[in-house]
Amino acid sequence: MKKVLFNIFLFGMIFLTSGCNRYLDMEPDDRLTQKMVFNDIKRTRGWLSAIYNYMPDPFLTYIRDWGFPFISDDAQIAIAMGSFTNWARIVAYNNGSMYAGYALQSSSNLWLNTYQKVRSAYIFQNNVKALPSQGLTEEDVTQMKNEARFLIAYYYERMLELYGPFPLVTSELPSDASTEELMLPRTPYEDIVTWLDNEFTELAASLPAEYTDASTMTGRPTKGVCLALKARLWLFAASPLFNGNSNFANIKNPDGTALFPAIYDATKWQKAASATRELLDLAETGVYNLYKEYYNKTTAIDPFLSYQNLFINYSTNKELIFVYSGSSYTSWYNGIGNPRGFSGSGGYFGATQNLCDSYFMKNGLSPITGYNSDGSPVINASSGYTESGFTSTPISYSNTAYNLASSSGIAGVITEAGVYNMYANREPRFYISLWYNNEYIPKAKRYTQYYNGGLDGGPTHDSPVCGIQIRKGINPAADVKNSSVPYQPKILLRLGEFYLNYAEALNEVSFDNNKTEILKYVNLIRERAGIPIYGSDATKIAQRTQVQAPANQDDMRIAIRKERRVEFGAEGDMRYNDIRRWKISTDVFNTPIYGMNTSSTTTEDFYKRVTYMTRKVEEKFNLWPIPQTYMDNNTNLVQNYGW
Amino acid sequence: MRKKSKLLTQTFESYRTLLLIAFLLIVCPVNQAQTGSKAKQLSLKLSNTTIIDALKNVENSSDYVFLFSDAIKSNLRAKVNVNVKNATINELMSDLLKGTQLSYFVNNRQVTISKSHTQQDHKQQSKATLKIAGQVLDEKGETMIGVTIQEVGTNNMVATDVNGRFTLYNVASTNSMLKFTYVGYKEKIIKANNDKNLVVNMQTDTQGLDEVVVVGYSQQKRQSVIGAISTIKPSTLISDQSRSVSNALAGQIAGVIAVQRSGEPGEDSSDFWIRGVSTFGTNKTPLILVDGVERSLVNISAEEIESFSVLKDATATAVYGVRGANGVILIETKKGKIGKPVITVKADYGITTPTQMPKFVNGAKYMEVMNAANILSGSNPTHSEAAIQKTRNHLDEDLYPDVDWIDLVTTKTAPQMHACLDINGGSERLRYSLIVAFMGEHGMMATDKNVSYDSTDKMYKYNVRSNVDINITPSTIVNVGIGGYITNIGRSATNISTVFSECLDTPPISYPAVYSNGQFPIIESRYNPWAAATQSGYRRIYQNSFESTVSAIQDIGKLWKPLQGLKLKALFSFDAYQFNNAVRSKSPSYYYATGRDATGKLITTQVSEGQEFLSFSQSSAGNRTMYFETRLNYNRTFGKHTVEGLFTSSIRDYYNGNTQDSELALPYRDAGMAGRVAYNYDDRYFTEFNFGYNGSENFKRGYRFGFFPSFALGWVATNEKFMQSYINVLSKLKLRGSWGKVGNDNISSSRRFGYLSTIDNVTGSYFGTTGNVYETGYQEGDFGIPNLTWETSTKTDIGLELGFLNWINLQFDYFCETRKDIFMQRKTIPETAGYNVMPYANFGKVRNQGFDCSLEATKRFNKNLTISIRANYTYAKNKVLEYDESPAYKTTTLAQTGKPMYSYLGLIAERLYRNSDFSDPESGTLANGVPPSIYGTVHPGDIKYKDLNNDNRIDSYDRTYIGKPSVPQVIYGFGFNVKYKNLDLGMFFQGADDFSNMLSGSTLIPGTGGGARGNIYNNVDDRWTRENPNSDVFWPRLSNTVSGTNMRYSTWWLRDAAYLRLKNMEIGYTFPKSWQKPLRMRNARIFFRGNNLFTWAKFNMWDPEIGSQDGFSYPLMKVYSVGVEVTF
Repeated sequence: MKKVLFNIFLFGMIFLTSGCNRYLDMEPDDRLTQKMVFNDIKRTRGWLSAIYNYMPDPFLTYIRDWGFPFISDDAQIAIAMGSFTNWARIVAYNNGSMYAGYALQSSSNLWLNTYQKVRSAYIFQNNVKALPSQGLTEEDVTQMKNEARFLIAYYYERMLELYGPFPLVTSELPSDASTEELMLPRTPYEDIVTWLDNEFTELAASLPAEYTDASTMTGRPTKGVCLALKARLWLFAASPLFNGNSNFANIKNPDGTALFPAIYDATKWQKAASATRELLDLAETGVYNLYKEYYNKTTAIDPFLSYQNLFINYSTNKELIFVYSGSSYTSWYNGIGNPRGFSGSGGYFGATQNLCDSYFMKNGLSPITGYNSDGSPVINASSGYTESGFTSTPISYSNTAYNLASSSGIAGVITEAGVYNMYANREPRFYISLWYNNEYIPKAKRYTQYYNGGLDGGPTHDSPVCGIQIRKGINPAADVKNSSVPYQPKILLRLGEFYLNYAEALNEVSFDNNKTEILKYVNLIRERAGIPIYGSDATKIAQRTQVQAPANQDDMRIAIRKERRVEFGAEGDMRYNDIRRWKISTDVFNTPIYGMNTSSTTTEDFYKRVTYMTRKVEEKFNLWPIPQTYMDNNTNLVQNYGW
Repeated sequence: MRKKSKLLTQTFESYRTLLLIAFLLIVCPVNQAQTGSKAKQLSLKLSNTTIIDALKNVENSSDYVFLFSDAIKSNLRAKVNVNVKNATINELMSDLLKGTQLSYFVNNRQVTISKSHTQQDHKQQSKATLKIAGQVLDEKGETMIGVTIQEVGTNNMVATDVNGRFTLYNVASTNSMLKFTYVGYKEKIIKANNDKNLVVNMQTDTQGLDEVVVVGYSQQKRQSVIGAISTIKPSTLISDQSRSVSNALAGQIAGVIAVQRSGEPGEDSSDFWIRGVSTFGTNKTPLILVDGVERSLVNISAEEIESFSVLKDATATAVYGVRGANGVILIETKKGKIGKPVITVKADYGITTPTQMPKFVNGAKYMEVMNAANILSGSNPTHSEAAIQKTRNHLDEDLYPDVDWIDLVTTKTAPQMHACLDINGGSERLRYSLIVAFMGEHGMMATDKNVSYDSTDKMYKYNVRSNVDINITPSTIVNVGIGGYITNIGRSATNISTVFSECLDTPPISYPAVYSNGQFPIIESRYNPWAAATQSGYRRIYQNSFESTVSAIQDIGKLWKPLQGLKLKALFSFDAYQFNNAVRSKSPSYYYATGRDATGKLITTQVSEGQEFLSFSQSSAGNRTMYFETRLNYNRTFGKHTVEGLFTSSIRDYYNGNTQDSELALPYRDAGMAGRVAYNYDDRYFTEFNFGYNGSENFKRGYRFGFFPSFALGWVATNEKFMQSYINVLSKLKLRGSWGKVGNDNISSSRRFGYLSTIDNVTGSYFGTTGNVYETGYQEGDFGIPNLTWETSTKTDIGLELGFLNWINLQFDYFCETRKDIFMQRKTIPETAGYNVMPYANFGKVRNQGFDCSLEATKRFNKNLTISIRANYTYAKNKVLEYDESPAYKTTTLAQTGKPMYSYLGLIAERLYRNSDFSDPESGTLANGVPPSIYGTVHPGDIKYKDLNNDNRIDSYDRTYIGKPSVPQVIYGFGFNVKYKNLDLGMFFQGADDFSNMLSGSTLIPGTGGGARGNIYNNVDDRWTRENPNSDVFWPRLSNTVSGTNMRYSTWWLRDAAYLRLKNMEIGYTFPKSWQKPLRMRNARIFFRGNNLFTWAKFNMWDPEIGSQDGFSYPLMKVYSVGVEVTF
């Protein structure tokens, strides 16, 4: 026994003095190393896949994380939603209480995520290699490298749109870089534009226009995507926000470098026009086309189905330039965009009355041209619009097979008898884009109830607070409550935008020289929307099959802006970008957010215009603040104007 | 009695034969010394010795020399018992050789031994022995039951009976010494003297001078402890009535800072720190060793604990090296004691009820306040007067509900029960201890009698612990300790904390718990707490733990005399823990009522479809630990010099089976060595050197091993001669001081092997026309930092121990600790780097200093009355000396550097805005000169903050550290025990001070939930209104959404969280001995006990100890219980 004990003791001592170090070495677990990642085809693809994972999901990122429709004048969230972490940032923007020190959730933090993805992408470019034995060829590597390169440019482009200049990192920074080396100043706006222009130009030359195996490659960049982004890049660069914006003139790096171009440069509009032309040229070779459906196999466009299915058709939709391929939030989006009593989830994607008022009438004329100081609308009498009374008979539209608007299910019946006149005789996009009170819900076989205590209304915060709800992009076949939601495309870029971008740029370059070309593209959009095009044929104008075309640059600008407002109403980042780009957001929000009186429990009171809130929007809101923590850690960073 | 003791002897006889192990010499030191120089008069008392050894003994102590041939050596190895006094050499020799075949011849001083020629074969005759009888009494003259009486140097022992009487047979001689021992009493040794009516008076041991204190890898007498070590009596831990021992620590031990943050059964363990917090790194908690092995404190039953030591300074903890920086708690479980079996049975039953719950307004009031909030936010009122009336009058509870959710889902009280059986006893050769404990506790969640399953919130815990010590040779002790527990937890399938926060988040007017038609209401994405609590199915959690320790101690000194005092120990332990979590869940279909039809029938619409059957899911996991340690202890006194030495080495391997992370699932390993040299001269001057040398797997070779030394000095002045005249007044004066270093190697709970880089598996992306292709993602994870190393803590301690009048004891310790190279994730690396995970670094420095002191006094006034009081106080304040923070912060009020950890960074609220602050109060346009706030437009009644940096703007740069930290800087406790005749009363108060609580939450301010979320606290009327624009109110301007301005950390919401509570009160009655005797009881007592009975605090909305910012947390519980304890 003693001996045994002694031996144990001795063994213990010897072991501890000799074998300790080895005992403490980590057990071999064949841990994954970077080398192993790039020696395996699946993991190599996985590394690239992780760089993609901050691509915005238009159904989630645009709506909630970045909140574009809600911080524009298109949509309004219930202020009470601010008590939910995910929505607090949007409410802070609405209340005017956003500030640079606001603690962002990771999903909203574009600034941080961009640099993480950029680093990951450069690591990828520096390490990826062909693995012929596993089927990863040199061509694959070239394609993947281009994708990584594209992603860097893509994230940077987003940064540029939302933050303006940022420190442009164009290589993999060493992992032992000192803090001082990493304290990079912001790169001037024009340098970034030049750099991105070059990236998109080179990528457009290398990437295919279409993938032969689109069924698996959709979601990855193509030539068209690069041209589209380049076009957008120049459109932004030419626009008032970034082109000689006097507010930004004094935003300078500590070394005195001005970050924004101080002087307006009209030639940028030409660049924007040319860049857009490049894309349109590609489109016109047959790669892209406006999405249209025709009525009864005729050549007459069915505007209802065209505009509705543009957002639903993912297989034969040539208007799609770039889509996000994930599907997890389709159901969520269809939930918030359907009346809450029907979807069974929160139907809080509320439109503003302001958006509602922007849609044209069936005759292509604007119903409302502005607001009086008491909030009452200035009604364009010639449009035939009225805000009193209810429809006495159902109203049908010709040339459409759309049959979801009435309980009868008869194709073409768009409003039933008893609908508030505000919602009658509006253009087709109105009906596809919005739910109004007392509208038929085909799947629920009942009518919407947005009043207080109604199935789809308040007082809860998950109802549309202005009494009108965004319907755009929802799939009528979707049944959220029963988890039956078909796949649909989540559009990042579509051709329609570039028609109107092109028209806008040309109009700025010269209205007189480009009148025809401008009208052509604006009218292509109006034609698909099923409303009279702009023209100058007096007969047709009299017959109301044409609307008098704008006569000068200013009128044309107004017409284009009106068209954009409704064509892209509550769609992704469009309206938010537009009001910033045009530097009109403070003017826009001088008008309060109007709504129907949703606190009323009776129909009579419901159809009364009330002010939901007056947004507190300042000039500084045109760019996002650089998060304060990054400012604190980098003395070379200067904050955006006003923050 | 006689029969029994014979039986015992026989058992040991057979035991001896079975093992065939020769018993070694046990020398009686008292008698041995008497074999003096008288050559012819020999005295020798030896038992179980060989003849050779006996002869050697005689040779050493007399002039006789023995001669014998090698041939007979084997015969001389026969075992004998010798007990002679003043005998002649002939008497001695015949006695010695009487069982052998040897004869002897004496020639002057030379004795020759040879083989006997005549065959002698006679039985060993029983010697004439003595019978000693007597009685043992305590100081009061009361008879004492269960006192152990042992004939020194033998296994001959007995215990007193119910009358305090004993009879000890087979006592060798009148010179035999009898040792009387009883826990809590001074040991007494008396000469046998052939006394037939010996009366022994035992004295209680109040000074505890001989008390042994468990220290790192060893034990020391209390007197020679010069490290800062606090101990606590296990009985104190028991009286807390709580599942977790950790809940009894606050205020009971000087040097422990503890707070209990929840009262939920199974989740109610306290957070505790030894001498506060000294690091902002991950690991702040002490190392806990149970029987020398790292184990959890959470589920050990207080009944299992024999000793509880808290090691606080470097001297005490240096031997734990790289892991000892946060202090060490040493727990020894109960060991068997020599004596006849002592059986103790304890049981108590109690009811629990929350200490304090937040209170909310009813439905009608809620609606009125909401309307007010809407108006103040510029919105229209949402509730009509008619609706408010209907709610107030409860006219239609389906459509105008008024629900007190908390009241609905909780029961007023819940039962609690403890029972324990403790069996303890043994002999010199085998001692055993067995403890079986049961604890049952119900939570306060209500159940629905209509459901078929049992979703009661309950926890049953069964602990068992057994320790067996076997002397397999006289110098070798083997200990086998086995312990374990089983817990069965039952709960609703929805977590209780979830239900609880749902209750506090659901307005009273949303909907009733159940509609009158039986349907369950809900609003999409909101909650129905009643349905969650009672209709969601149930959960069963089974946990079991097994702990085993096998150790052997070899007393080398008993084998080889020159090494007397040297012991060798080897210990192996194996622990395993496993749990299974089974959830059977379902959900009802939910509806929402929109009105009534013409007939008055409720119209409802289905919100979600439920599942009426229980679905099943389960998870199980566990962990295991192996530990091996070898150790040499040396302890010997040479005259006035006492030397202690220790050298130990250990390895540990812990496997965590409860993780999906490949890295965390690798075994955790520690290895190291430690040593100690202590010396004391004449019990007056003490010095000690300790070291730990160990490494951590978290660091790279070369940065892995560290040497952690510590030194200590002590002086016991009262042992000086010149102090002896004052000894009756100043009974104890001890000064001690220590300095040393200790380490901490724990980087993070999720990061190991800091020197290796990782690749993270992350969300990938979808591609394809229908998102049909998914590729899982990989990206850069942590950076490997090659030169990462451990945190080092330098600790200094100066202590003073004082004793007065032999019954008052005082201890005071000042401490100062500096922690450097704290692990932290870098905070200042610019984001342009693009790191997914910020790298770790040894960065940062914290100083923590304070003092702790304790007072204990026990005075026995007379036979009937004993009073004891105890108190202690701990103060620990830390300060961050270095921290990785932006240079932009360092010069501002935002700097963490220079501030205590856990402090609140917030704005300073000056007052509420007045109309005069505005040029246009309606639109919120501020008057000239009033600094605007970046947190949004303000209105009269909003909180006006101080523009601290005078930049004419209220923003985050105006924040500074406000109030006290959220962890108390002061913990104190005091209490007393009075014993009068058979009655005893004890009270213990515990308090915490110097800490703050910050109120916060998105629905804290009444109305900010917008009417859809949140409850309104019942002090809502204490608020700013347009009619009463007063700044001296609780609530600022109400709003119907979270106010960016008002809901910020600021002095407005800062609350003093100090509290004092009656933590424990106990009244007991001990049955008179005369009643106990017929039942063969040694002790019987009944008691009433109360815990957390009263709380005094400045903050009155909920229990401040839980630290909740909005009260949305499971409350602490009051316990009232009655119990009985009986010892047989």
